[in-house]
Amino acid sequence: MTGATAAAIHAASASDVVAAVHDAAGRGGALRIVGAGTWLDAGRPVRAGAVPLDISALRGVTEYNPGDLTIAVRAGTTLAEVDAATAEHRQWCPLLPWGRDGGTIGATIATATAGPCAGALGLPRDLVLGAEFVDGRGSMVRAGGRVVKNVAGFDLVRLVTGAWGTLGVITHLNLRLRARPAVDETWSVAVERLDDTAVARIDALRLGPYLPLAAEFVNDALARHLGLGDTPQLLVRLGGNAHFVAAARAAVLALGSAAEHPGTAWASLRAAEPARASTWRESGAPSRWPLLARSVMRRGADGSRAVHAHLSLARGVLRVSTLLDTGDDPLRAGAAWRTSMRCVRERPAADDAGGDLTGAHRVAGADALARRVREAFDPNGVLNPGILA
Amino acid sequence: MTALAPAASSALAASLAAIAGDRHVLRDASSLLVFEADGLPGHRAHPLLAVLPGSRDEVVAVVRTLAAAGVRFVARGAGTGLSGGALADGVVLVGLNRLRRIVAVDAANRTATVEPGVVNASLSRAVLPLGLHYAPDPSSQAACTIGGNVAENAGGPHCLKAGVTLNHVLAATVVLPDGEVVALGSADGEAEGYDLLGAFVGSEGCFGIALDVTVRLMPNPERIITQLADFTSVDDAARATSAIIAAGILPAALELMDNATIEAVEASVYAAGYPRDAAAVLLVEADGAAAGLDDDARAIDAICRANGARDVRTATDAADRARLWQGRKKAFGAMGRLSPHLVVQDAVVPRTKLAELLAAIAEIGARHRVRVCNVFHAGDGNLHPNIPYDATDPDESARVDAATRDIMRRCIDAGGTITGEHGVGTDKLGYMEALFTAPTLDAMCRLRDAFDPARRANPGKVVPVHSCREWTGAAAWRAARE
Repeated sequence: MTGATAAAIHAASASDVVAAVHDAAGRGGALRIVGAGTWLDAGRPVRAGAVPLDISALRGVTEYNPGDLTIAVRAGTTLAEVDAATAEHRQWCPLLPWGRDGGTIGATIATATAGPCAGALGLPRDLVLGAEFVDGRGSMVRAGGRVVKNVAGFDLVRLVTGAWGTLGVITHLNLRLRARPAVDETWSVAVERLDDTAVARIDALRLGPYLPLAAEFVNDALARHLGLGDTPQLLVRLGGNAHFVAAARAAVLALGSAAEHPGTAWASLRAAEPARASTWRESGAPSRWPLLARSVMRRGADGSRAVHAHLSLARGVLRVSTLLDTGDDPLRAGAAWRTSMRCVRERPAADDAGGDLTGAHRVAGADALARRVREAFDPNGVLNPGILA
Repeated sequence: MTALAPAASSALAASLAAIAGDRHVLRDASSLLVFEADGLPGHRAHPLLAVLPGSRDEVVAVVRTLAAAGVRFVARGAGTGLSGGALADGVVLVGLNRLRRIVAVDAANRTATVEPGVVNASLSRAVLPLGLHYAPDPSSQAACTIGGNVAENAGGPHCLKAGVTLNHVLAATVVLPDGEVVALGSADGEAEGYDLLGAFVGSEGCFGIALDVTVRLMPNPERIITQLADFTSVDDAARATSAIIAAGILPAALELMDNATIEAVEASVYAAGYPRDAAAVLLVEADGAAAGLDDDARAIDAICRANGARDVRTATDAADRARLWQGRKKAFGAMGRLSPHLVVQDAVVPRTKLAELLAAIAEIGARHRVRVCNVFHAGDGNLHPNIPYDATDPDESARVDAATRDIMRRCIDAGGTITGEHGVGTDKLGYMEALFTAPTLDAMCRLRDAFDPARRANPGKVVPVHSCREWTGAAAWRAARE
């Protein structure tokens, strides 16, 4: 192991990770997995006393054949590095997750962080082809493969995607790439009022043939922060060949007063979350977007505290950041917002899709199953204990 | 676990009959004959008995009864699988075809919740008035069920752009083998926590039985352009395939058929008008919004010609398109005319290795004196080398097996995999150790044990039993004790 200090373990190879896990398990310790260090806990801190396991040195593209539209990278490779390698061949890894491009591909997959293009181009679970990981027993597992279709064996790739490192330390990934769109345009449309006419127009875009690469409803505070204007905006990214984009652009211009922006608006939106903020994520059926969007607009107007909010039109996912002053308790600051979200989240009472399961056959959550999975892969709670609290 | 004694078997049958009704418990050999094989010849097994529950409640009650009795079972849909996955060898077979309700369709969110026995194509037919369809389209879609599709993570020609079953399943209610009913995934917003739904999809009946499945529906395209490109060399057709993908075009489907397949199709009632002297044809379909689609079609035409296509023709209307697709979809049936039995194989290689692999497959076929017909999802690199043969001829059967083994080995060596959409089942068990390391297979066993600690669901499939460290450890311990 290179560069080990009392505070952190710096892994230079996958076998260093194996050794670190064995060592921690042997002395009843725990590890906190760290890549670029930008997604440390999402408000759910790893148990105090866990030793940081720094895997940022596991870095670099190990195999890239543009003709296959697949790439193999070590987990500590930054998103910027993946982007640079693929840009040369007019391809990209369309994950484009929330956060900055200095973050790592390993953390993106471990947290299953999706970004604004996920509705059109796929969630992390749709784009990972293979994953090498070290589980909590120190076993080196090589799951999946590098081909774009693969049903051999049980799906350990989906299992570690979004497991927040609690089932294994991801050390290497095979990812699906896509061609960058020949034409790629970004437009914003001011949304002054969300009356029935506006909702119907935006729904026509959501359900119509000109599926945008991304469409995020942005509240006024965030619109101002991004320099898009003073009113809530629908920020739309259109991609495809020239004729497709021309038709899609016409559909967007029909929504209202629109302005074109450089594509960098998306990197700005992805990185807009301030360092001091309490961020909540709410996900609902996409058709309920007007309800969520109206609550965002109301919230932005109360003026009590700056709130950045944006909502994915395709996926119905709302992200809200309450900006904090020094000394604010992040949980308390977010609590008021979360309380107001509860009423949005209310569901009809008779929501059981199946209909005929009797009382004796109640449907349970999968918590017990999830615990058994955790125990199967990390019986001693070595990996990021507490992060899924 | 050993086979049940006759008395215990009768008692079990009586318990199951009390749940599903007498006529839905089958015990005599002639009634059970239909379950002895799936779509792949060469593997046969006879269930102890079959039970055909008629509702979600009955499925749960059946599974709980089997759990209480410690009896192993195999879930089965239409039995169209191609891996010997739904065979029940002396254990209980749970048939799910009676659960065929479409429970709910949500047009605003483009989802449908269906019972596991709903036939794939019937779902698309049902939502046609809404302008929607269910995208994954295995060739058996007129018969295969959504439950079976989920179990196998089924694919199909249109999965190139649309994605496979995994990408279209949002939620499932599942009865675990111990009888607990759990909700996996989320139909109303995206789920948090472990992707247990992702693990369940493609678990080949080893993780439990889906009681309902919520799937994504896709809008029907504004326009479809179907092209047939005619090549005088298989190599050219393979190179054109990688060139189309590398150019950044993502067709809805990109299928390759070689001369042996073309001959079989054109000699059958499914004749599609394919050029009989072509070494290979590509069937390429572009779909989506009308605007810009012609540009994609023109680019596909140009790339095919640049890679040696003699001709590229475009389907003139819906009937013409249906005819071109009929040849592709019924190719397996057409090959059935060539011989009594047909092995439909399944493997995947990186798309840039297609030409190399097709040459290797031709060489392997010649060496083992078997006829290989290739008809496959070229855009995904998903090969289907099919071998017509006579299973009653032991020498020919042995040569077919040897050729299959060599083909799988070559695909693994090329960085590929042993199955892209058919599953491991019984047929591919022998290749798992060539593809995965021992710790990886052990990890798969541990995942199965989290869902089914008693290993009663679809026993003996997917992962070789001896790959499970703790399992073999326990067996060794028992052996030492005796």
